[in-house]
Amino acid sequence: MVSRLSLENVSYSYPLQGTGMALRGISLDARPGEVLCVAGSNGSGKSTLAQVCAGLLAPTSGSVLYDGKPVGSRVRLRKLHRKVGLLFQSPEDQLFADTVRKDIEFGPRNQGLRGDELAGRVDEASTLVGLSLEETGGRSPFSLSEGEKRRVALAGVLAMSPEVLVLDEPFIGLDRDGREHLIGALSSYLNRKLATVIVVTHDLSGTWPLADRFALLSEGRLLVIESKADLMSGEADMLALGVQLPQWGVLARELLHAGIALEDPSDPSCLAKALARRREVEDGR
Amino acid sequence: MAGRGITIGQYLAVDTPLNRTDPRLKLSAVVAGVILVFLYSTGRELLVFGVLLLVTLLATRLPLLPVLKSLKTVWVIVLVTFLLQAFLTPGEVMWHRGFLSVTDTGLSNGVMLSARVVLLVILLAALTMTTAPLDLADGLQSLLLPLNYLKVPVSQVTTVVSITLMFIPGILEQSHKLVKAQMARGADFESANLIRRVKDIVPVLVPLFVKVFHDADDLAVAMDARVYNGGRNRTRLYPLEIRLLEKVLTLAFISAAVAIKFVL
Repeated sequence: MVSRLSLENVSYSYPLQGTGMALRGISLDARPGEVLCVAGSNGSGKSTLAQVCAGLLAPTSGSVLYDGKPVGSRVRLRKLHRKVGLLFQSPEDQLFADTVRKDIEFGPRNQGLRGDELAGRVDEASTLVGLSLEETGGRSPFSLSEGEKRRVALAGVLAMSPEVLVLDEPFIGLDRDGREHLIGALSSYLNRKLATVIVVTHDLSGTWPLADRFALLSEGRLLVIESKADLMSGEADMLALGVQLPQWGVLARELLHAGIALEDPSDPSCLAKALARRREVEDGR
Repeated sequence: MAGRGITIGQYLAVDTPLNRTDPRLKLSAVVAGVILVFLYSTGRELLVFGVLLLVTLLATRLPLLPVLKSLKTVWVIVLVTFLLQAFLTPGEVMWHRGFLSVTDTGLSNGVMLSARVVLLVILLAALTMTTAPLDLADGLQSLLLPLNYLKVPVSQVTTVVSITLMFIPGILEQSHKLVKAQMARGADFESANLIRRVKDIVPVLVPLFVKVFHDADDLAVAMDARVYNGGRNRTRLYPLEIRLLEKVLTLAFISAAVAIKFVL
């Protein structure tokens, strides 16, 4: 399948900071309809990578390609902003309007939408993230809880109907309900559009059920791009990079090592069923 | 992009002799430089001081590019200063068109004032780039200590100054983040349309103020929680120390700058 967004040997260093290269020779591709998780510890270059993917930082060297075409000039970078949506790590960096509705409208308005089309986009995005505009639409986004702020920020990005969605640490500060809501919203969005989702995170537990492929980032270098099964068999390397498998991932790995077949290792309910089957077999003996 | 490239007021963590120099000496040299820049009365004096400053900065191996980049922030002020002086100062007319006329006195005043602004910016940029905000506040407090005898709350004042300085890079960084967040949602900060650009700045200012007030509130609570109690009897964890070589070199710089005034 043709890549939607590709990075070819991308390096980036922040000007005037004297901190060396934040990204070193990164090459990766994200395909339509897939969820790519980029995991790494603090300071590994995840947020820089997210901003390069969204066209907010131009690489110091290397190139970014969208649908196979290089995105080099400023004009093309601006066009990329309309196709790639970025959810920032902190919703406070993104929210600004005096009401939630106006905040969600900001992106599509910049895309030139007005009237019914604009209202339709805003309603659709709010529904996707589980936000009731009747209740919160007239409130200030800064008066909302952390989870609600994150939903408004995500709705603001989804309302632009991006083909690629880049999420920077989307699960930080969310409780279990918040995580489930977010995963649900992302699944719905993926089902409605053949979107590409890139999640950068240090915590795999939120992304685990959704992700198709995983890339590990360390000190600005992309080390591996692997499937869940590959990750589960090589956890020792991940720990060295400051990334840990989610608990059910560890359990799934142990079950697989014990020779128990799993239909879907990423689904906790599968693990429970496999354990129940195992118990039945042992009781039968 | 808004805020990008503003280097004045930002500390540059590089290892140069100027970075290692005691903040009190740097402050004294800058204060002397600022006073002398206003005392110099001829273009030649300003030019020689400019050369002295440049040589000093080169000798200390400070990267000159960020220092010169700080001039980008004030070029409008320099230009307006020059034009106002050139067009509005009475004197012998050198050029005339319609109601506009440039005089010789205006031109020379314009050049002198612009040169003064440029030198002041370079002096201040060199100070802030080579001195961490807390060191700067420590140096200021130490120099102002005698005012304690006049019942001036030096410690509290310098704490306010140091916190303000500490917030500057944070505010700049936050404004960068906000600009990026708005750009990601289609805002155009590089448009040729001035009205559009001004309109796009508003969404940056609102969350910036919210964040700054929030951070200031958090900091006040955190300082309270750690029983902060400013006052003249506070002791220092890392006392400032001046080395002999630093003292001699700073004195040499100030003496050379003073000599320009009286020798040339």
